[in-house]
Amino acid sequence: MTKREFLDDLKSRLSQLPPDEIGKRLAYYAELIDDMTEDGMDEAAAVDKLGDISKIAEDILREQPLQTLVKSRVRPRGGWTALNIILLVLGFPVWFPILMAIFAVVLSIYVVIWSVVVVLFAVVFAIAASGLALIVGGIWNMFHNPLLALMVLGSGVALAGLSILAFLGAMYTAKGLAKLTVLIARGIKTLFIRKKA
Amino acid sequence: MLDPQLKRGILEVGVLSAVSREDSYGYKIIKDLSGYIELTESTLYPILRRLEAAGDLTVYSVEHNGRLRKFYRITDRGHAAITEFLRDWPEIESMVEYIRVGKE
Repeated sequence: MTKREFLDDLKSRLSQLPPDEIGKRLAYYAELIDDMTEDGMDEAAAVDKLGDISKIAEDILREQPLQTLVKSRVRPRGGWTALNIILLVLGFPVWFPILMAIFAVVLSIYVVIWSVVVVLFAVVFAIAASGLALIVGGIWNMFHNPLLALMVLGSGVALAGLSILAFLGAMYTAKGLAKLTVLIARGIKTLFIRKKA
Repeated sequence: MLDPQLKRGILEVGVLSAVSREDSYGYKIIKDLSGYIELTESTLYPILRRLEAAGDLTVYSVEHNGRLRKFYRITDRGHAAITEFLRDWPEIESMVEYIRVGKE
């Protein structure tokens, strides 16, 4: 690939970014290729050294804040003409509820994930609290009814042990869910990255 | 594989150091650091952007062979960031030693 081809290809892949952002990126790669060829490298080899162009473009798009991606995604192909704006206003009763619905779905996914975390820790707390209560109760009754008290004490210790195990389990699950929310956020971002036409 | 966040932090100071020796530009920074750490063209750009936004570097253009080349100059803030990194490093080193002993 020549420098020209590389830059043109990159430009078309970045087309959803603001023009000045595209300009800065292209200038950066153009300067690098020029510097490499000036250093005695063959132009094709210099372009090659930059790596896979689809990966470069994807990484750049991922770096952009979500607003930039959304803004460019919703921008009509012909720009903001009067007709487009009128259509947008007239279409408000249609697109607004849809937008709100999407927003609500995403929000509820997050709420569900975090409720699972809260529930898990509530269960752990409940097990620990009942274990503790049984231990205290067992010791309390030791002189009235030693046999029963011993059984109560034993189950209390067992529950306390279980709560420690359950706590570790809940920790791992919470960590996994936190990772999941990151993945979901990434997925939402990808939704707004326009596939190459 | 180095943890990405750790690597990013080290790369940032590395780039600052490369620029602190003399004002430098993209290709030269990559070449200067290439013997020490893996740094691709595409990873350098966001680092430069971040350092510039943080006020650790300033940018100016110089004409070179009929084209413009972007030069980066380190600021006082950038120098302070290097100093801070070097000051904190012994702590990281002793942590590495602790981790190493645990592995033996």
